This record gives sequence, C-alpha cells and structure tokens, in this order.
Amino acid sequence: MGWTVRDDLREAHGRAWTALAQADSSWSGAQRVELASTVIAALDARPPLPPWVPPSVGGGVIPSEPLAPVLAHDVVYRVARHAGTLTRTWYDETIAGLAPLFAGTEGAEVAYVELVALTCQVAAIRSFHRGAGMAPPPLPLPLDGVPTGRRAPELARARLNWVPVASPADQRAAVVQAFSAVPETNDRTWAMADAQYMPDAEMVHPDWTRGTLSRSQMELVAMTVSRSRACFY
Amino acid sequence: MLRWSRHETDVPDEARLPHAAELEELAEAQAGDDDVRLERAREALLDAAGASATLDAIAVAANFEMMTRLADGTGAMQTDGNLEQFAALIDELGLDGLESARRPS
Repeated sequence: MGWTVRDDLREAHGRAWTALAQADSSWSGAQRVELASTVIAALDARPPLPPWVPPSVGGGVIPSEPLAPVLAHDVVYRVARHAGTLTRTWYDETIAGLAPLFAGTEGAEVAYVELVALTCQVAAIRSFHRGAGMAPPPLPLPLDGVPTGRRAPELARARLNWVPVASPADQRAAVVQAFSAVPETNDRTWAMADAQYMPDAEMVHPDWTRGTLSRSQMELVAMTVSRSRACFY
Repeated sequence: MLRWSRHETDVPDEARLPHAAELEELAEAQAGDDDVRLERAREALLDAAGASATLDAIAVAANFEMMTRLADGTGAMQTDGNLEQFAALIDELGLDGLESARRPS
C-alpha cells in the first residue's frame, strides 16, 4: 500500500526519531539509542517477558556492556510492554535505584521522566508503521554530546502524577503536565499528539475533524486502544 | 463498550457510527501482537473507509499507544471531579479492578 502520510505527521515523527540520537536532559545520544533498541525489542517480543521478569534477569535483550544502566533498560522494557501493571511502589523503588546515578531523588525523577517519554515516542512511531504495514525506520546513529541537564526552571510535586512536574503543579490535566519537567521532550511528545490525534486547541470542539474520521470515530479508536492496554486513565 | 452496547440493542452498527466495527477491530489489532489479524483489520477498514481515513485511524491508535504509556508511566490520575462525574460508568465497567486505577491521595 502506497500511503500518503500527512506532512505534519511525518515531520513530528521525524523530529522525535532524529532526537533519539541527541543528548537530552539526563541521557546521552548513545544511551538513548541503546535504550530505544530495548524498547523495540520489548515491542517486538513474541511473547514478551512477563512483568515480573526484567530483561536484566530474562537475558538476551540488554547488551553485555551497556552504555545506559541496566535499571534504565529494565524501566523502558516494563513501560513499553506492561505499563498498565506499574505501581507506586515500583516507581519509588526505581527512583531509589536511579538516585545514586543522578545525584539524588530529583535528578533520578527527571531522568525517569525522560525514559518514559523516550519509550512513549518509540512505541507510537513503531505502532504507526506496524499499523500501516510500513517498514519501521532504522534507529539513527548516535551523536556526540553529554546530557544537557536542561529541565523546567522550577519543579513541583504533583498530586495528579507520581513524577515531578513544572511548577505550578496540577493546573492542567495529569497527562498534559506529565513530561513538563523535561521541556524539549515534552514539546516533541505533544507535537506528535497534535499530528496523530488532534491539535490541542481543538480538544474542546466535539465536532472537530480532519475531514476523514469524525471525532466520535477517533474516540472509538482511542477508547479501544486504552481498553486493550488496561489503562484506567 | 460499543461492542457490549450493540449486543444490548437491535440498532445496527452503521446507524450508530460509520465503520465502527472495522475501526474497533483495527484498534484492537494494532494494540495486540497478531500481525495477521492486524493486516486483515487494515484491509477491512481500507475497503470500508478508504486510505485517508484508515491512515488517520492508524495514527490515532498510535497516539494512544503513546498516551497510555505516558499516563501509566508517570502515575497520572484523574481529578476528584472527573472521578465523581464518571463514578457510575467506572463501576458499571468494573474499571476499579484495573491495576492502573490510581486515585489522588
């Protein structure tokens, strides 16, 4: 099938995919590409490791001498494959494990947010290609550079998320503020959402359409995926 | 939900939402692991709705592959107001039984 992919969608996906190779707030480009490879391995696994078996134990997924910590690989695999099984206890234990690598809890939490965002972006782009029957894009070659350390000017504890968010917290929906601790990743994520689903500004208009699917049809697809993935939110 | 509702009434799919069955099947298949089922679902939607609508449905499904992981990976919770507003629906569908049914403390 020779699809004609909308320009906005192609650009949003291309921007996120290219950024996998670049250092972001907490992870280098080489680490990000390596972690993206683990996300892809998780998505492609038939069957996947069960939620209680991390790839650091299950074997065969993580390189023998990984650039990123093994715990980071365990995180992205779990989020890629079993996000609906995550608990607050798992989150707290994960942050405790990352904290020594990131000079404390806040650094670990920002690094964690970047891991989840990377996983989300790779999962969406791979899902789009698989859905369309198109060959997935190859991972980009990593670019030199150290983590930027860039984050929101002020972080706040949220009542509506486990993760810290840009201050002030809880003024927006939990999913909207979820990645706000890492602004550049956040921007790329929402550019993807605008193109894949609908522009944020149109959310309040129940009759908005691209001229193909009605809003009701879009919501049917959204609800069905959410149900299949056991996502309460 | 729509699948359940159409068992409860005699209203045909097309009177409710055009291509509902094909869209639902595509979304389920795209969220699953069965590539043969996905190919069949894609072809069925293509026949029913055409290429542009099919590709947009695939993009929406991809978006919720992203948003569900975003929500569950960051421990996102609905507001008290939303939970109260949809309490009956949550109860009817048994959604509180999901591991991801987090509530703000």
